[in-house]
Amino acid sequence: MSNNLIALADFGSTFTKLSLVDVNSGRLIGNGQRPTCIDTDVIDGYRKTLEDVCSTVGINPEGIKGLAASSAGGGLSVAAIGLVEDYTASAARQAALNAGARVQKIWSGRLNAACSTALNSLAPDVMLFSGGTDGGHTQQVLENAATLAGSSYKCPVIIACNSAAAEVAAEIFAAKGFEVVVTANVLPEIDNMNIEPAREAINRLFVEQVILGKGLSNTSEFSDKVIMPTPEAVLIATDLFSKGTESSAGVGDIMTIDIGGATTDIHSAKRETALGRGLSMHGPSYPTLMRSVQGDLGMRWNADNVLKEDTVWLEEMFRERDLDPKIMRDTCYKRISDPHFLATTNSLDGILDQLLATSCAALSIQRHCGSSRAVYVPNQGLDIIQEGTDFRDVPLLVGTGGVLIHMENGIDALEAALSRQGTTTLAPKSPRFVLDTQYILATAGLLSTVSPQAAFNLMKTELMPD
Amino acid sequence: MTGTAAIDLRDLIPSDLPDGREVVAEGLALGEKVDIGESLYCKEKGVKSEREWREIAREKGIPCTCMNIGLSTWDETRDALENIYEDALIRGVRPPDRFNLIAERRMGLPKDRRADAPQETGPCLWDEKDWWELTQTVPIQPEAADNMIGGPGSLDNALDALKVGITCIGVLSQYTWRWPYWDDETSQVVSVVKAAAVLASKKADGVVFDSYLEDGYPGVFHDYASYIGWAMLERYVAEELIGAAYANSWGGLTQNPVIKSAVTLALEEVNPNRVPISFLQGDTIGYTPDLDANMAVVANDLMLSKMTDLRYRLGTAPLAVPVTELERIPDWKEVAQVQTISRKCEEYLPMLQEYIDWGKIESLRDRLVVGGRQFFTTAIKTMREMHVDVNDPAQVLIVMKLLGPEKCEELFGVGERDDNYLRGHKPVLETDLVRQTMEKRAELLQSVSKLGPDARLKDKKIIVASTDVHEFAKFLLTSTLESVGSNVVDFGINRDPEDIVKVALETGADSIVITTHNGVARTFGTTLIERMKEAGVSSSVFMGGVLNEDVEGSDVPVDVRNHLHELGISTPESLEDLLGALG
Repeated sequence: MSNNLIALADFGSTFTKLSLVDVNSGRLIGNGQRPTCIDTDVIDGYRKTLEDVCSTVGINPEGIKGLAASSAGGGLSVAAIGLVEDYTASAARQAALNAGARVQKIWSGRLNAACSTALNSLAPDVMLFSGGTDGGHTQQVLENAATLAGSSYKCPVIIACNSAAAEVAAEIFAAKGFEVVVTANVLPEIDNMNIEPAREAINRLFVEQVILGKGLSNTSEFSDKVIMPTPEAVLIATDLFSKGTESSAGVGDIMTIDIGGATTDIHSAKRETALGRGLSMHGPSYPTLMRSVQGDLGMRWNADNVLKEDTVWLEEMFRERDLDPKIMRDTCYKRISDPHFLATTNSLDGILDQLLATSCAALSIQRHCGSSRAVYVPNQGLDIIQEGTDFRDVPLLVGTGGVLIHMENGIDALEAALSRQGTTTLAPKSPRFVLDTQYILATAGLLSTVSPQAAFNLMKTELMPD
Repeated sequence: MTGTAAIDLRDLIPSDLPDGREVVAEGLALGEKVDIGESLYCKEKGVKSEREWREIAREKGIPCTCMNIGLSTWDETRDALENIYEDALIRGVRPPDRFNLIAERRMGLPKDRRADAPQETGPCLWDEKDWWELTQTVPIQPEAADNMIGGPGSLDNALDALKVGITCIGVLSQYTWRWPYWDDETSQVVSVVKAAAVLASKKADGVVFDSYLEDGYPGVFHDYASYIGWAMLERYVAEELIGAAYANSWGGLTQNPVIKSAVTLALEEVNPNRVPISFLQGDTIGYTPDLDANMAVVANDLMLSKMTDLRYRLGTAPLAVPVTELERIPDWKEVAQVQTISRKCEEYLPMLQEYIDWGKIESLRDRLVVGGRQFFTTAIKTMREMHVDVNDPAQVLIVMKLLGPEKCEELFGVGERDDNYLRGHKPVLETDLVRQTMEKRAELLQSVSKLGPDARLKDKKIIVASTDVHEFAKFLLTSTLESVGSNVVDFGINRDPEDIVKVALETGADSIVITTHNGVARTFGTTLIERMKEAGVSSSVFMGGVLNEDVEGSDVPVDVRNHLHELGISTPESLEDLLGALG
């Protein structure tokens, strides 16, 4: 009876969401949400929401298996280390982002005692250590390892550096009491990142260590159910939807944007295409799957930051609507103090939410996408340089996040965000817009660990039914 | 495809650039007041312009010929003209129809600046008498060519030329040139557009605006299809935006007569108003110090050009290149010599013409035209995407100049992606420039393989980069190093020292090889060594190419090899030396 049903939950920082899905067909039976019980035990939110959903649908919650993702308590924090900012440090950063972590710090170059001291105040959950391409530089890499190993702060270290130096680097950390995991170099060759192995290593650490360490729950039910961080679930879903399965053709390149209360996350699947004619690539190519998180852009906890980052445009928009920009500040502070606040449509709050969402989306998209620039060299001609990934051709943009979904027209906000992109930002030019109103992405990501086909079906049905 | 570059060129266009349409209007008004003089040639032929005669000649099957003349002074040049004319009459052959005046570079500057600029080689026209003598010495029609239109003195020259009855004035493609001590892009383009508009006002009188393609960007293109596209782009600016009658001329860098014929026919295909191609420059790259052998080069070059001209009624004028062209400035006898050969060739044309497989040449022409049209369409589309006002001739010209030839061909060029080719695409028809480089590369690889395998070079990590747009040298370097088994990181062109050090650090490169041709060797080398020291990079450094730099107090760039050696940078003289030193 309930054997074919599965409860898929997402412990968010603000809300706990739960979907009940048929594990064979991928059909969504029902879903619901409650505020995350951060002060008591987060598993309460899961149990109560499951009860809510089951009673609506008319089934018995007992015996229903469950899987969960979590970003409660701020997720996983990572300090990323590399040799050169533009190269190995960028690759390490991307690996951490893709794993759904919060990148607290990026160090590169010659590390010194100040860095090892800083570790105490930063207190990252994990250090991701890289430097040198395979067979490349060794000396500075090992010196950096020694510097960091000298810190009194201990945490797990993932070694993803020059393979010729990895063993020795691992010994340096291990000898000083660090737990060490060795994995493949995040930048084995100068042009291409290889972040999957490091990403997997981070995810494993997250599940094994962090979940238990955050004090979110006293139950084994919680640790049994949580198998990945929320961003990982979304990334897996994005990948699956893009690629498809043996029986279902994928939708192609895709970008998803989650405008949350505290952060805006973008996940993208963009297969590598040839560089446009006349362009030179500066810096390494980024992987097909990418996540970026803007920790300063959110609709509630960070509303004031959004205002700070996008003051000129927001004030202009307020003036266009004959509203006093001073009111903007007050309404932003209201959001910080009451993150669960839901705006009513057509009210002043509704307007502000629409504008804030556009700001979050516009700035996040600009930061996620690659860019091009022209450098004129007198007597030589123009050099046209691309950095990062070209997303202009991406045919599908999926928006999600509580505020975006509940507002009058979330798609308008996304469209406005794209039209605000400058010529030099390589953002999607004319994608199809879809709103993930049922939080299907995280759900599908979890479901894919049991049945990729069911997960794909779920996404297809809910996001692109035609 | 998304299209190419996502950049906004409005940031780079000079802020003081006026609206080109207004400049055109000013030029047209100015041109109304100009009276065109009558040259001896036009008087003799009973026509109002050179164009008028060419159109008659092509219908009647009368072959025209062209020559280049530019001795040290105008007086010498004028005497040479007289001698050449007399010589032809004595021999009983029709004298050349026209000549390109290869004027001294100062003629490109505005009149009032010429006296102050340093003197170089070639005839300079100082007063009315000099100009008048151009058209009144002998009945051979001059084209005001090199250093006439293109520079900041364009308007002055256009007016002077028309006044004495010169009806074909160039050279649009020279707009991309730079004149010494002249940095003002805006006034240069304004002068060109205004001069072109003056010519436009006289279009009905048969006045033509010429462009010798190889003086401009096509001279470094890799694909002949790009030549066609470039000609279309120039025609678009000259005819559609300014209203002048635009003519091509081309040919000096092409050896194969069949290719020459096909490209000429392709240019004619994209010439909707059938403005006669001004002249077909003879091949110069086939020449060697063996002057006798050069006789065969000129004869072969002329034969197929003249046959193409007659059969397709092009009304062009093949230009015979003196066999001493590469050794020195030819004297009048050497010019007369090849003109005689040219006229003699005409006797053989009817014998051979019908036996040429014109169908094959026409197929090649058609492929070039398809490629050329695509190049042109892409050019306009790309410029629009970069926010250029493609209806403004001044903007289009400035942008073409800003982009530079390599970038233009990369952005607008056709051909499938293929990493075996420089610029990453397979040309529709490879230019002789590329063919020669590929041949050189093959020779180099062969001579390197003769040296035998060098274990010291195998798997050595070597970064190769160019400080500027020069790709050929870098291409030869990476090919050679890869062929001996080195692990090469091709770091591309236009690279800064800082970026090179980043890569050298991460990869632990054994060596860094820099090729440079833009006069920055010392500054680049100094910065590179400094950054390497800061980062703790100890790779060995080699530099080659043009190792000089401008220094204060010197008119010419100074050799900086000693400075580089002091920095610890080696400067091997040859590729063999480099290989020896790398090991």
